[in-house]
Amino acid sequence: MCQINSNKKLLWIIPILAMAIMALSCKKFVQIAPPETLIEGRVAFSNNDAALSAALGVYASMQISSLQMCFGGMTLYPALTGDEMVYTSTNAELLSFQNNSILADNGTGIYSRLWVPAYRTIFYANSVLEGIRNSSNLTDNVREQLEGEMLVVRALHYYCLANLFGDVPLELSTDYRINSIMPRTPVTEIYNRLITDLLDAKTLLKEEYPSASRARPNKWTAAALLSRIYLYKEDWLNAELQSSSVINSTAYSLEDNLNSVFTPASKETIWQMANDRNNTSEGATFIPFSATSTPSYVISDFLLSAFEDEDLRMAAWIGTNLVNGVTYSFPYKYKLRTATPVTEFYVIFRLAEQYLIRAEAQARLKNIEDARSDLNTIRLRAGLTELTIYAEDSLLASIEHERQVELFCEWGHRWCDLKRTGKIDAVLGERKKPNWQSTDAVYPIPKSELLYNPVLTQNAGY
Amino acid sequence: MKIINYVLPILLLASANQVFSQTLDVQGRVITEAGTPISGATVTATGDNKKTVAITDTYGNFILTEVSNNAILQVSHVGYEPIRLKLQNRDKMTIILKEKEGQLDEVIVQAYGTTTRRLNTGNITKITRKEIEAQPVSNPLAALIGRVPGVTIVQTSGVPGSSFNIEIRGRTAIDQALSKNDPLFIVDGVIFEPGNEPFNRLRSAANDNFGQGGLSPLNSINPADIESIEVLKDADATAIYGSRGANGVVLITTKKGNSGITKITANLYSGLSVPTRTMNMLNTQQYVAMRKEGFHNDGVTPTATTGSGYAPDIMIWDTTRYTDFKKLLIGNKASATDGQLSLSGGNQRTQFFIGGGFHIESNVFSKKLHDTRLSTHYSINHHSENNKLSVAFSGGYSNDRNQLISTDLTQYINMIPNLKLYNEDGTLSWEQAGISYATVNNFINPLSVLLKTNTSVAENLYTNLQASYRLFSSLIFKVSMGYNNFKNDEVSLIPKAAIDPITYAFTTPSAAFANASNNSWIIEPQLSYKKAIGKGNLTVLAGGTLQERKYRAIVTRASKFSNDLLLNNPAAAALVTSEASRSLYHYQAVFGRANYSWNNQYLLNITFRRDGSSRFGPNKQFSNFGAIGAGWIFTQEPFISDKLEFLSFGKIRVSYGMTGNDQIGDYKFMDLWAASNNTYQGIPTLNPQKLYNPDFAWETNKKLEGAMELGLLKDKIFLSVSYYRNRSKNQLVNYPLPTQTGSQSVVVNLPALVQNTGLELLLTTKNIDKGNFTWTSSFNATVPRNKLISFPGLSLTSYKNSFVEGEPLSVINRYKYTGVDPETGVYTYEDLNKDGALTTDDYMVLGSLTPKFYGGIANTITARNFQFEFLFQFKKQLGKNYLSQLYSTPPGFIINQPEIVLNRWQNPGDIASVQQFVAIYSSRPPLSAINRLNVSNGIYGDASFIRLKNVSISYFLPVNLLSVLKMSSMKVYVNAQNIFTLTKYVGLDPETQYMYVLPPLKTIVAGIQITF
Repeated sequence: MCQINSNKKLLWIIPILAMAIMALSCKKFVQIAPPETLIEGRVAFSNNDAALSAALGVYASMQISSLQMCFGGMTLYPALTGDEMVYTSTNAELLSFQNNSILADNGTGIYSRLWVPAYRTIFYANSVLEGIRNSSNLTDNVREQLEGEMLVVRALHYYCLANLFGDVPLELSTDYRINSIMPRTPVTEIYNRLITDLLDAKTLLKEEYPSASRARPNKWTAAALLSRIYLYKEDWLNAELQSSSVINSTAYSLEDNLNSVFTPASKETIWQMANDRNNTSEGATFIPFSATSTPSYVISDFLLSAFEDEDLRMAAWIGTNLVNGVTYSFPYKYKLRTATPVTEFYVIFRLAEQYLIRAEAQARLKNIEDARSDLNTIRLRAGLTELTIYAEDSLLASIEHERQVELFCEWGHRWCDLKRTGKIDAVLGERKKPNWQSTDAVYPIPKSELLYNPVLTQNAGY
Repeated sequence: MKIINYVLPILLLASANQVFSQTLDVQGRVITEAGTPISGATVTATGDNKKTVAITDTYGNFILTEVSNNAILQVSHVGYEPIRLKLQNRDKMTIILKEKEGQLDEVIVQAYGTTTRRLNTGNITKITRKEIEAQPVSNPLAALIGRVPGVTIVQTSGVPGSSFNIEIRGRTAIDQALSKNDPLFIVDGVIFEPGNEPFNRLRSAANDNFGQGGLSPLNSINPADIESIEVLKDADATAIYGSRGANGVVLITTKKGNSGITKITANLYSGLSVPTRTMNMLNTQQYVAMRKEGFHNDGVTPTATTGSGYAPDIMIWDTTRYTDFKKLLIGNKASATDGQLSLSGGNQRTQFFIGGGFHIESNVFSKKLHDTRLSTHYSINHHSENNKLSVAFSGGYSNDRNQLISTDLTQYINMIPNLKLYNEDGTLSWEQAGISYATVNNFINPLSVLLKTNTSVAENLYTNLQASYRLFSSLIFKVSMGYNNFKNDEVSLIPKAAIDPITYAFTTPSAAFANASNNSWIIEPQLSYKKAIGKGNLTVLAGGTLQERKYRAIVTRASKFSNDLLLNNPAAAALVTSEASRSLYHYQAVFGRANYSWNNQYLLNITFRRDGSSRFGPNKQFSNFGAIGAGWIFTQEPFISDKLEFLSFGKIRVSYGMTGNDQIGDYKFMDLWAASNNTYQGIPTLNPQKLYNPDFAWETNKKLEGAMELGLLKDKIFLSVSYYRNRSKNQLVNYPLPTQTGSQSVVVNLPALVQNTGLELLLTTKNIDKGNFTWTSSFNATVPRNKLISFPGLSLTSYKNSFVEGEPLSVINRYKYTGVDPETGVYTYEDLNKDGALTTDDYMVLGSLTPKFYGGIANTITARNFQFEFLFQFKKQLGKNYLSQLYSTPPGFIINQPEIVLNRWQNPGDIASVQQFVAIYSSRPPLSAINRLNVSNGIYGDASFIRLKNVSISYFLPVNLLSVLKMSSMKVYVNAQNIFTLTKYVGLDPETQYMYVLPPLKTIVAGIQITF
């Protein structure tokens, strides 16, 4: 058999060599490359295309699941806790929103749909911001465009969080060691930061949209959110300034036909979220599955009775179903319940709101005529007559009313308006008897978050 | 029955050259009577005033150089009767040693070799094929339950193929989601890389409704192919596996061929299974009464119209209809059939084993769904003529096709009993009286789940080669190489008929496909040196390991099929998303072991390993591990053996060492971005995959053990008592983060120290041994203790309410439940700090889930041709009872409840265990009280049990009949598993402790085994 055994010295060498090679090769062997199915963070910002994909990932993350914060959640939940909608079925969690008796361990609404997706998108936006700031391979125009977009997205999310939860942790980096023990930041401080960010964004962004369908923010998108924040801060001068910059930009005009307002080609849209796969989450949620079925969410009598009889928005934006002799109304701004084919995008900012912001700011600045003119622009489009009010108080009341019927079931405007004008207790205390308590104006911080961040505090009443 | 052959050692003459010189070189081989090579045997040649010593290698081979042609050979090995023989000019020979009686010298497989109970310095428990064969199980882990001290194995579900949780010497992992307590599994010396991690990528009935559990890769190993399973526990036994030995090691050794006549063995059994323990649910009458009582308590009138009293289930739907959902969904009898055929034999130089088999189990949901495993196993051993080269080649393949459904139907046993299941035309009903089920508590028709199929095909291919070459008589070079390919292919289908046509009218049929493959190879070169020094033997082993594991998976989800025709083909779907994942793991080590046993009296064993793992970031990849073990066989000391004659054997052994753990998954230290499932305006998008921490490092586990082993009355009684103390530090955890960080966790090393201590007892006795009647018993018991010794800054972390320093990891730190208030009928809890409010400040330590003790008692009685074996398993512990499921569905809501809720409070003064029924969501006290129940100790109860785990009755055909039938043996048998359980547990099974998971099955089979 083996003849090698005559040369025993040689035999020694083989195993010794084999084991020595093994011992020496080890360092390299256990250093592995990233998996082929993923890429390393620095590679994601190594060129314009990759960075763009990373930034677009932030938009994708805003629409992962139905009714998450910026995909219908900001519309549905404040509509239920406020006076716009009534839930008709038996889900206990949804009923607790309706009854203003939300529990801090509410799993689906508060935690999974509102809090978690908002902070996830903020984390993604922060990751992109850090990625593009640390990369030296991007061209300036891409860097500026993406940075501006991310600042707008982040600001939108903080706006939503602050209006639902009150003071929330303001996370501006990706460092979990800092972020995980961040206490709640006062809303005024959050607004100040958003203003700084949005002013930056307005400088960074161009007037032209970076892509088709107004699906990514431009300069006027930053201005549109800025004017809203100024309005909420009651900085009337700046609110007027920013809304005017949008209205005067000539890029936008009100759609004459109300049924065109929420179509993808709407000239009124300032920013809408494109979706390659589904129509809007709101259409799927609010439109009943057949003409004879009870909608899960119906428009409240409070809202229905707010419309003037001639208001065309009733017919255009509210649908009705007759079931067992009862007429149920539901939001019908979006016309499509089914997911495909995709022919509707989800509108985030539109021009009508800017008119109403400017009207309110002008009224506060005592420019009554300008205010009335902006208000009447919206009224005329809705088929209503022009108002001829001169008193500031009643003008402001008309603007508030107009906001209620123009922006109903849209991004929680009604809820936020009641809060910022300080009328929430008076209005909902009456309309949501006997459950309403003044502490219900903010939602509970998710219970588990308090567990995981020891310095986080709960809102009063929870 | 083992027939011991009292033949004297036989000398086989291989060739006898007529050599006239005075010296010659002798090549030989030492084997057992069964033909198995004996490694480590000492061969001494004495002649011409010269003594030459050689030690046999793994394959029993030895070489003696230049010995006198008429020398006397002495061959001895622990556990065998030594023999003397004359060389008489022969230069090639095979020597057969006869085994000594008694288990002390039985061969035990250890890391990179074998040892015996006598000489072992570590803690190794062996389970033999005999014990495995008595149990009608498909997963090797199931065969270990109740038989190994220090080991708890719990079946996660009664669904065929589902996984088992195993813990060796208690829980060390603070974060069980990241760092599993799973031991390392090794098959024939090669790491079984899929391990005990559930492999299915798609959810199925094997998962509970939190997605836990799943299909076990170990189910692909046919228990019938296993010769023995050794469980390695202490540092001495496991430290040579370094980073992978922290949670213990399970060595699986497959069957090998023996030299001798060619044997054909056939085995076939068949039987039935039903769930072990279930709970009766309310019937319709009771259910309706419960609902009405709830409404009454709430002060609300149930109505047929929407509003706060809306109760379609009792006001609109037919309340005379009744379905016993427990019986309908999980009350069917499952069948089990198993057949095995093997061929083995060989000559002195080559032996082989070829086996094949099938195992078919149906499940209790439906007889049409089967888990079918086909498997084959082979083994070839060969050594060269000059006894220098030895090769062992073995491997196998199995294909396990498991037909399941998407969800465990046990989750629907609480469906309301008056749900209408079928329409008049026989189709599944989704509404009653115009009210769709989905609008009522999101109900579905539970029978639709049977249409949502999930089929998993798992293929396991393993093969390994061990080749050794003797360089010198005392030095052997060996290479062990192994390859394993574990693949699974899953298909989940949701056809049109399974979709609620009313509420989900627009939901189209869909399908999901998952393909995953796990390829791993390992090369381990080793040098072993064995030399007699003084009165003892020195064995030195040095080796290295290179290992790679490549994982690839693709999960494809297809939806928007227009119909059911081509559900299996994603091409027919309008929407297809696909996700690929890959990972690579590299592992490298050098290791060594030195063992010295002096006069079979003093034993010393030192092991070392330096490990490198790709799971850590730069500069954190390497770490050193090692252990030292020592033993003293004090009965070898004359001053003891003379005085204590009843003591036939006594050994004290101690070991201490350090092992580690890198079982946290790959790439956790890297900053990675993944493609998101959605494009945005047609452009692919990216998201950060997770938060990452580049700085985490190895966790370590220090193990101390002291043990005494005693043999009494000529080893008729054998007792082993071990004390262990394992301390785990620097643990890797998925540290929970507030989601304000954008993520729910990040991997970090936690500076906490966890200790497991325990006392293990193993007692085996030969009670009666009288010719035709023998009775042996085996008793094992473990008293474990688990303690979180320190956790710096615990109160500032997210773990502050989960753990308490000085208490077990499984501590119950919650509100103290104080029963149902007889006046208000509401659950009450103790307000510890008397501040009038229940907050986490009122939490207190109320026991733990660590078992107080557990173990098993096995008995084997042989009388004439009958053999009777049974095993009782016992455990004393607290566990979650059925109340833990109530908080999400309070009794009185639109969901059925077990009959036990009828013991509820109704009127002031009632003493009850269940609080008043409630029917609607409100701010009434019972609702917040039931929410608190889940964070109180009220959901825990006694989950102790004694279970008749296994019974086996066999009849062996008498020899005279066998010769007529031309068989060498034949037995007919009845085997049964989980026959009955004595427990006070309130719920389904005291081990799975979950009301909506199928409990383990009770199985009884009858079979026949024939050997030709």
